[in-house]
Amino acid sequence: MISSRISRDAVEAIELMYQAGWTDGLPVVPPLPELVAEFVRFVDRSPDEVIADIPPLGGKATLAKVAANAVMAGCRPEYMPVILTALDALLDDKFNLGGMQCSTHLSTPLLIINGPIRNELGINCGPNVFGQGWRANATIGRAVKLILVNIGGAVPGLTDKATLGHPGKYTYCIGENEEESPWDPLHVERGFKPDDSTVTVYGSEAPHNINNQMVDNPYDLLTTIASMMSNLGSNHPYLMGESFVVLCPEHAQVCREGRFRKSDVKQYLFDAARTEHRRLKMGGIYGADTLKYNTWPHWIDRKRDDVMVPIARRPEDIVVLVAGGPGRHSAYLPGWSSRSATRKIETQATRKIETQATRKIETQRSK
Amino acid sequence: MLKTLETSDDVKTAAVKRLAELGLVDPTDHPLKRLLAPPRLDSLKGKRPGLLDNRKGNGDRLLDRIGQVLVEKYGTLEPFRTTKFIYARRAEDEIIEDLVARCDFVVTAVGD
Repeated sequence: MISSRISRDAVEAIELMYQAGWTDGLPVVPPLPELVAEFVRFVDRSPDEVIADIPPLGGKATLAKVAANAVMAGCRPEYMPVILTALDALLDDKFNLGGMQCSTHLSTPLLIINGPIRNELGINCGPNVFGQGWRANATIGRAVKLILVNIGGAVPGLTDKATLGHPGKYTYCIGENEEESPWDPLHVERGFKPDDSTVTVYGSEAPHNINNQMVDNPYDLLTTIASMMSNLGSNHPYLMGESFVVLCPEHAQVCREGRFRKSDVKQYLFDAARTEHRRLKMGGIYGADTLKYNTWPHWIDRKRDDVMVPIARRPEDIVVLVAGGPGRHSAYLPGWSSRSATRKIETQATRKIETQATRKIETQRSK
Repeated sequence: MLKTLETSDDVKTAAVKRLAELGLVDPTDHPLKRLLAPPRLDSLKGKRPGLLDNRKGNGDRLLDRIGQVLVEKYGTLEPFRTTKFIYARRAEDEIIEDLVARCDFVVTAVGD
């Protein structure tokens, strides 16, 4: 039985962690040394090892500090390899983490998990995939966000200059619904094996819902999606870069029945998600002076007001995933216009996860 | 004071101290505390300013005005102007090296 004295200490610690500025505004689990040590032991590395200097301020992420944030977020030790892999991906230069964290734009890293580890850790890929209710999604995503603030120094209102921000800044982690996808999943498309487990990071706005319940052909469906993708408020007609489309399984099935490969979906969206040059002059970063856009490809004729401007430089920059449960709602994830990065979760770590998770379950059962 | 800063520095320091007493692992790092500020210039007079524009709207106008004030009011030399290629990234090494070589101090403006 837990004594009331221990409970009072725990509550005091939770309150003190608010005062110390260690939390995201929700309560965190006190990072007791023995818990932190257990998380560090799971990856079998030195607690003092510096994993990375985290932007924007370059705080040193030692393994112990990463583990402390993971404990605070409510993680289990076996989530550590996913968190470490996510950090590695976030530090890919093309992702430009430091710029993203300090931007007035509201994007924040989204973690997309592929491969067998989804099922091993219980990462939700199905109903309510962007929502609450799954510990692995909620706490892995939250651990990364705590690290970016507590170690990286991206403090809201100070170094993090987001005008609005969005709820994904608390946590933002999904799995791809590979089992219900008619196509190769994202990690296989990017050259990994189906049995590899990976983390992809993408600087993302909140999901924008795309509702089309009656559609029975890919043309009408993808025209609907393209309409959501091409609007004056998005970064992409101006800055291009990558953006992500999440098809629900039923919409993906409509595409497959229409004999659309994933590459056909991308090509169709690339052609259809366009905006007239004269309309784009009303928005963006430089206003009507579109000559200043060094992000636009040379083949856009800026002298013509009627030219149709795409949202990316090439079809491959429209990334397509399958996720979610029953129903006919897909989503567009506009982003910050940097590039996503994918990293493999090391097999050795994955093996450890299997053995230790199994052992823990058995231990719990025996209690 | 920003509303986001929920606690004062004193409360924060006391809380961090108490958490250490409770034996909890500090999950934070504070790299700015390790940085050393360069020595201050005695005077701006006769010094060469660098003006680094991040390429966003109106940053150039702000820097134009600052450059004008520096020359007219503080007697600096004509400013050296340079521009980042991508506003959302840190300035390229060659731009930083150029500023170090040519200037006594630098003002950067974030148009946004």
